Amino acid sequence: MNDLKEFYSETNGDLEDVIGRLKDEERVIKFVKLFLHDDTIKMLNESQKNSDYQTAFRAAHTLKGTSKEMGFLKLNKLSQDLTEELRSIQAEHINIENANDLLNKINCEYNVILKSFDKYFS
Amino acid sequence: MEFKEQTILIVDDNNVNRSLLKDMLKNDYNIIEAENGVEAIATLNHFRNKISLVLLDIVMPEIDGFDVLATMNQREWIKDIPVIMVTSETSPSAIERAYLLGVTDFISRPFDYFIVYHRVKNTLVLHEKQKSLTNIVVSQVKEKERSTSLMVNILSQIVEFRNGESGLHVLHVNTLTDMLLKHMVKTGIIELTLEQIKNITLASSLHDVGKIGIPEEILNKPGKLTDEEFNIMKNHSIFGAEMLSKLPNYENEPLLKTSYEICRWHHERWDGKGYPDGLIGDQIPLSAQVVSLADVYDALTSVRVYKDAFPHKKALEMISNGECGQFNPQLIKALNEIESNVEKELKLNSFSTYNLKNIHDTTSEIIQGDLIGPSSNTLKLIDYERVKYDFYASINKEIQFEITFEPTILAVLNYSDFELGLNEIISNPKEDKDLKEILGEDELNNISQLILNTKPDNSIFECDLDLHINGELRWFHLYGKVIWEETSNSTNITGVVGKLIDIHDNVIKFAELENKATHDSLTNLTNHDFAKKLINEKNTVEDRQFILMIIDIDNFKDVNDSFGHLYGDKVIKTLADTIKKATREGDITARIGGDEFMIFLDYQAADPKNIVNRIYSMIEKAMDKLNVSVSIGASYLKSPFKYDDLFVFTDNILYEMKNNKKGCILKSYVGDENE
Repeated sequence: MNDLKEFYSETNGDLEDVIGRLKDEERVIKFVKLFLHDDTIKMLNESQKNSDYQTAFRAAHTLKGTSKEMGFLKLNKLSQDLTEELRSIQAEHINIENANDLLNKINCEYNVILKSFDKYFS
Repeated sequence: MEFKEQTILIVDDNNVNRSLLKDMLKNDYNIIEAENGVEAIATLNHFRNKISLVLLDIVMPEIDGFDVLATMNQREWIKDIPVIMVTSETSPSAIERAYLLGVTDFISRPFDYFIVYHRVKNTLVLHEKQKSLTNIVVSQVKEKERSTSLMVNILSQIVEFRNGESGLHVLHVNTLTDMLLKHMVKTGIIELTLEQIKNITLASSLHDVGKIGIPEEILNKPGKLTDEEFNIMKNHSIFGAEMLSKLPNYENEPLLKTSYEICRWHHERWDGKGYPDGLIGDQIPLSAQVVSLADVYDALTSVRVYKDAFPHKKALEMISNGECGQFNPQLIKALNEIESNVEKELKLNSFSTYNLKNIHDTTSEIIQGDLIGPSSNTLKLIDYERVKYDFYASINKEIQFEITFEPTILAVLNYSDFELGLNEIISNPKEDKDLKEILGEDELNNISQLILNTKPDNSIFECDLDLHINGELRWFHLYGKVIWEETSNSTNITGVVGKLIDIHDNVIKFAELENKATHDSLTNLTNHDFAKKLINEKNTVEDRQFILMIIDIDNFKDVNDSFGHLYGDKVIKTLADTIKKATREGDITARIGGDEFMIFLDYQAADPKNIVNRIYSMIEKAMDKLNVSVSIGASYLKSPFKYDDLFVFTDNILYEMKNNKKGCILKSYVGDENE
């Protein structure tokens, strides 16, 4: 229990919320692990690099949902901002600089979670 | 209710989301997962009778959650399978759209274990309850229908019996009333629900119930009634109506009210000259108008104590001429429009089929109602039909397909032995790469043109196709039926169903047989009959120049005798090959007898001699190696010509020459000028 608490405080997460919804610590750990193995983050990076903003939007949207699911508040906020930035269908309405900036922050935050998880649960 | 036997389909493009839901539900339900909309539709298409609930994500690539819902609506799956939308998309417009498309509930993200668990459970329980209630209602409606109709039939039979008639009169009036009403609804002259039509038809059985109050000696008097007797007889309409109006609950029973109208006014006439009230035109209720016409038609075409039966056509004529009083002209028009069916139906109908048909009509209307989905009985039947269908399809090795629109989705069920490399569900088929590869773009356009060319009354199309399967071409025959939906103001294509049957082996076999029938087996040159046909095809254009050569092996019998038949065959084959080599693709070459060959070719050059000599020398050289010589008779000519005459002419050249020396002679053929 302490490990999980430490992990969530290091990753700007809301453990109380997650436990409240998923009821079970084991389940939380299992799904954080699955979340970190999911390739949405990869899809997001690749599609945004290739200016495929439609796919990037879907990936950001998925990440927004799953990060919220696992209670990673900061990652959730960043991916929510990116989702809104990419929501526009026409590429010229997208502020690419802002989108790339948000993506960088998302990657940083994601790495924080990844490292911290390895530290406590590998 | 046994919940562990229920199956839930989870549709989400993200693995984390699917796994979370699965984790929460897997202890109580079977779970099937689908990664995208196409997979979801494919799964529903296959297993829809086993799936109790769908958890559906909205945002997915290509076919999204709304498209899946649209398809579920279009195929009416949504009536049997509840859908819960799973989404973080909480915009009011998305929620409204989802509800309009028939979703039962929402689960918003992030997931809460208890909410997911209970929402799923409650939805399933409610749906199960609704299903069993539906079954109860449907079977009770059926039961009520059956007993009402039985009572009415008994009553009308009593009247008929007393009337000395066979009982068919009521049945015929029933049938004709039903047909007239349905036809007039179809042609837009009147507006009635199936329920109302059923009521009028059933009530028509009671039109003469008042005859119970008429003394039997008048009722069954052979010969014409006196005026006084006729006046008593006329009372039957009022008797009947009053009997009905005195029944308890008369006010609240549509069936009784309709019966009243029919009893009282089925002897009224359009011009006001009927009885008992002398109503004019549309003062007479529609039900009574229709039944009076049906009554008169059947009276005319049946035997009565006072008359013989008139033939169908004569009866129509008498009615149209107003010989039995005036009727609503629209009714007479309707009767004339359906007259050919009337004659058939009245001959066919018996009591049992009539009742079953009627009950079926009403219950299916109830089933189609918005509130109630199909009962599990119906589902069982559908399941049974599906098994049967799958079985036949797999025996026949067919490829079946089904196209639905908005969005355009092609479903392919492959029962053949071939790996088509196609997805089972193809969205936007005209742009599908795999499909284009198998069919080719032209065929794809051709098929969509065939579909668009169909009409509601001519909705079947077929064509032969060669499919590219695993790099090989294979012949298939396509049968399709376009499903048209006709509403009062438009007709639309709602779908296409069809199948492809492998006809490749047959096509090849046919081609082989055709070749066998037209070609010599040893040399593979054409035979004389077929050559003649080909030559006559060339004879259709005037003023073309041709050469005919008939080639004969000298002393072929001796060759066979001294060197054996195998050697003889070799000689024949070599000659045939040389003839092939010496001629062009379009020239006609044939083996016309044992050792006799011919060449027929067209030429442009001024002098045919060079051509004939060139061919002769090639043949001579080849034959020389086998120690054999040939003789050739040849003629040149211009079209048109008479082939048989030309052949005899050229054959004679050959034989005249053979008697003198070996070699090749060419003559001009001009034909018989007199012919």
